[in-house]
Amino acid sequence: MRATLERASPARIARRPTRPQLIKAAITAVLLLFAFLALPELLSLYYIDTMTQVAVYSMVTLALGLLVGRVGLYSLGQAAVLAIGAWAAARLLFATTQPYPLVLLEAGLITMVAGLLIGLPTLRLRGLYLALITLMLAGSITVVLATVNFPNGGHGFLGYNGGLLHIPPIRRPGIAASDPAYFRYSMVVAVLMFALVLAHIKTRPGRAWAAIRQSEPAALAAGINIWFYKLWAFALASFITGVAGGVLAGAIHYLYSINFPTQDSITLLAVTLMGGVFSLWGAVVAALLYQFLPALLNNWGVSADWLIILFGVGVLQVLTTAPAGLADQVPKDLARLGRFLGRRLRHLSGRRPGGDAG
Amino acid sequence: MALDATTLTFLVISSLAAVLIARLRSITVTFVAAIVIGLLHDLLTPIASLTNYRDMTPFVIAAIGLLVLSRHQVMTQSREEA
Repeated sequence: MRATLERASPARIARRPTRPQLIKAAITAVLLLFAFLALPELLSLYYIDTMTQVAVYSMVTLALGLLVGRVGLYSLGQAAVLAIGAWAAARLLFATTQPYPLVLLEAGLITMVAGLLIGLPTLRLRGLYLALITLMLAGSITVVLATVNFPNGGHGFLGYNGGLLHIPPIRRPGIAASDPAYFRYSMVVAVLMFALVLAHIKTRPGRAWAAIRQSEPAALAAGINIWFYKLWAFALASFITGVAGGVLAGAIHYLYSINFPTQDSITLLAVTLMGGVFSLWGAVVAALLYQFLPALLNNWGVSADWLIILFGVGVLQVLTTAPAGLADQVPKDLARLGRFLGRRLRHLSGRRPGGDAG
Repeated sequence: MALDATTLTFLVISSLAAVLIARLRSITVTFVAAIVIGLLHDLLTPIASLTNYRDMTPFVIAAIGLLVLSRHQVMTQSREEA
């Protein structure tokens, strides 16, 4: 009895998850287990590769969603940040025999330092100017990458040798050499990154970011170090994107600068907004839009370029009517549809005894 | 320069650089900035060590321009005003 009473103290009650929260957690766990255990068995190699890309890009959209949705920083340079992460990971993988997780961590940290160097001067800018200056920096990085190229097993700091006839593939971790195993590996990394973000959102930095997003003067008045927390968000987003770049390097084996055009940054922001920036599920939806949908269309023989139009329309819709994106809209719409169908059914069954339904 | 969709998209992005230097407020400054960017870009072509990086010109100039122009910005400004 005493134990029950103690457990019922106010502090404990506040922390105990509510029923909807538990249901949500259970659904998440089931979906994750399904993706981890069953998906590689059910899908063809083509779609397994696609799902690996989805796992990779869900980390990128997660980082972008964090910046846009939680802190209110619009960055148009995420594809370039991803390229930096991939470059760093590829260089480390060719140069050393370190275990893969360590390389991912290092690639994330290197990208974080690069992100901080970009963030330090630019974070004074806000809104449109921040978005455009990150776009400009992404453009510069793309040009630099096109010149220095991605490492391909050559020597020197850049690790690129244009004269190589046989380019060695970028290695994968020993436990995940096959495509299905690598999908599982990238999924685990993605889940870890999501957990990292969740841990931030639920604690002090998350509250500080929420305050900054609401109003910078108010956050300042509340004693929040705006500059520090903005930089923290930028560093965290760069770290996650860098890790994603490392996973991407192993996933596609060969990296070329042409794979990271500047426009991708814009498309990434579009899908992130469409997926929903206020929920972590939005990042998954965005990654599905960005990688799974084109793969599906390619498989059907339809050009994936049509999707750009869809993304354009989607962004307009998000900006005008559904600020929380698909992750928020679809469950609501489904519930509405369910209620509507339920009403129709009740209506029909109510009238049927009368004989004439029409 | 070949005429394809990707290049044209990129063209818009680099043109934005000139607009940004003018902070979306002045056509004259945009015009001057665009001329300067174009001139610098082409002047870098004969310099062997920089010729591969000359496409960065608009971005670098815009980045520097924006940072210099915004150095006096006050921190306490609401999101809507930014």
